[in-house]
Amino acid sequence: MFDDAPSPQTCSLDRLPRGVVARIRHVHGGLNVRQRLSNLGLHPGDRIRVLRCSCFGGPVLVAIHDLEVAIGRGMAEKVEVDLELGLS
Amino acid sequence: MRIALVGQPNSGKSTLFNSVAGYKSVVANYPGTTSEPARSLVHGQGEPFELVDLPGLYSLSSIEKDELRARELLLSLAPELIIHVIDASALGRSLELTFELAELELPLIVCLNMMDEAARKGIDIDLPRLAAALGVPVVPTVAATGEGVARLFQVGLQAARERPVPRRFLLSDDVERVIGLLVTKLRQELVRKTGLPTRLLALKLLERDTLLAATVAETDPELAQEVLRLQQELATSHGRPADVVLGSERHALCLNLFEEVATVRRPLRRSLRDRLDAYVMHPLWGYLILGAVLFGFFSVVFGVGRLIEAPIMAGFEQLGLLLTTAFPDRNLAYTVLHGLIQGLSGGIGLVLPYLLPFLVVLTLLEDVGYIPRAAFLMDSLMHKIGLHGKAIIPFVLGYGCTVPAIMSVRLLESSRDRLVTSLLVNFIPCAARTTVIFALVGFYLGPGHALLLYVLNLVIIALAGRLLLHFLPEATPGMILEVPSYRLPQLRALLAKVWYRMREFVVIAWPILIAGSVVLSLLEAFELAQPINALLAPFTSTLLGLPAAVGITLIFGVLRKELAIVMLVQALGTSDFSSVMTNGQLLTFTVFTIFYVPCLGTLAMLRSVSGVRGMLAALGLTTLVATLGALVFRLLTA
Repeated sequence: MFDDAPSPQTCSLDRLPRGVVARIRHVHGGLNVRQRLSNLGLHPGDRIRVLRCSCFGGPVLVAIHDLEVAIGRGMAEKVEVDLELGLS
Repeated sequence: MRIALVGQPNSGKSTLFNSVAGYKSVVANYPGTTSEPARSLVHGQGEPFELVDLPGLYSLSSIEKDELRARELLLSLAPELIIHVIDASALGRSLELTFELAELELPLIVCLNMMDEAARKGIDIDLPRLAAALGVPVVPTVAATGEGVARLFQVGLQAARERPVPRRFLLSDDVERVIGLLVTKLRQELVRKTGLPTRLLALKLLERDTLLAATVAETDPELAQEVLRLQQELATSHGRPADVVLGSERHALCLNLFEEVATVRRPLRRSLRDRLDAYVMHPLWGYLILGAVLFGFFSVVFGVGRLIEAPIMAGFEQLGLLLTTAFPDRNLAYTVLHGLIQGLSGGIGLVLPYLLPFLVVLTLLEDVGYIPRAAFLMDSLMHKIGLHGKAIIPFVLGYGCTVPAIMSVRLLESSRDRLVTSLLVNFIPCAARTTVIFALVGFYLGPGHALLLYVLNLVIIALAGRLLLHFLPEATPGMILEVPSYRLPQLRALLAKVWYRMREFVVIAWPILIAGSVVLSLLEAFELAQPINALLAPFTSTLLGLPAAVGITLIFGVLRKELAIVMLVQALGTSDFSSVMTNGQLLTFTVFTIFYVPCLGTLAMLRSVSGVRGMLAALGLTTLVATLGALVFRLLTA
């Protein structure tokens, strides 16, 4: 199921609109990126919501498992999410 | 008896350690403060035991250098008990490490710390149920107030004697089959070499642990092939890389356990945190607040510093006069004492007044939890020179004094970022160098030229940053950083931390400052200025086109940068520099002074933060940039 072609409701985390709840679909990039994200609790299948974006291509602030994590733009680009749950 | 505190960064291990062991470990409200383990012998719990505070680690994988070090430390310590310290407000995420620690087959207890924070977040945890599920004792604590700490160690000592067996969490059947297959292939020799129990070793190999894979490839190429084959098998059957398969399953187990033992009530009101962050992290207000905080930081440090400095320096001046009257013949004893007083005045009178307020304010900002928020705002700018948001703090502090700026480099998690930042921070003109800029360029060439130097300084830092990025590429595509809740700082903990850091500076920098002063005093007394100037002449006069007499001033500048001016008066025999140096020479001299070799106090701090090699790298880079910069100015003004 993880090899499906990207559906229209899929985007990378850095493009996820603020406040929308999404589910992590896939983490692109190598072992290193996956490990660092999973250290802070981001795994495929988890629910995630963007709380805040900073301007000038800076990091996004996300809520995940009731914690707030700032993710740099380069990292956020590697996280693919499914928009499925609507606004919270 | 040895007890190790293990836990994720920012889970309160150091606070816990300090509450029983006295103040030996630095804590702050941001992840990754403990890079060297602090140890302490603890009495008063029945039997004495050694408590070790390990650097924070998220998992037992060795992807990142700092985590690898923590794992190696833990294995080499072979503790009789592991206390897994968990931030109760982040329980779901933290349980993954508990599962891994359980695989170490050592006595284990869980300390659920920050219970107050969890309660504030509306998280209720069923402790007996969690303990039953994990198979080990679970003790709730609030380390910041000391709540539950005594009981934690009672339970811990009992567990070390009784050695309860942690429950092992099994993954899905087909994954367990692959693990079992690999376990049968692992030889005793490899188990001994890595220090890991067989099952954990198998798990880590399947998770593509870089270091272990390298060890296996070296010792047993056949096994390495087998590991690859099994990884492939998992990847094919699950449609995802093997590390994701294992990681996801462990993660799912944790979330299930979390849901089983915890209930989360949504707070009715918007929390204070949300309301504050709406401004603090706002795209406009956030930057205004950051500017105000940094300006306030700077003003407090220098306002208070100047207040303290004046009477201290007056005292040293008196002492100097006394010395002159006591030794009218200026013998060797006078020279040595003179140097000693000079060194002490540098240590006490110049650095301490600024360091103390600096440490108080920095510690306050850390404990409140402002640093990750500043990092969030500054990340995109700092990214351009290959650093992450948090590096803004050392840069701003650098305008005050380079020593605390280098000290604050410890805010950064990766050793690569610490090295790069500590190299670049040397270029920021500190207060002493500002004196040089204004006394020479500002006074003789006008404030416009002085401002130009500051702008040029930033350009050079940006260029050097890009250059370093080329040689030391970023390990990861970007920052990832937890933004913790705001916390009310505890006065006792704050003062203790300030004292700890202050002591570090005194121990490291004072001996060097004092010894350096004595040497320079001797140089002066034996009239070695001439030969030194002659020695430096090919550099100072031939290359940079400066009067040969400035040679000795540059040596003194290494002790303290503003000494360069004082010595310049002496060396040139006049305080009207424009009568002996052209404007071009003044500019060249100033540029060189801004960039060349950092002062002795800074060098000592550099060695402590990034090691001898880091210090040597800073020496080389600063000398290179200073020479190039001065040369450019010589050619431009010729």
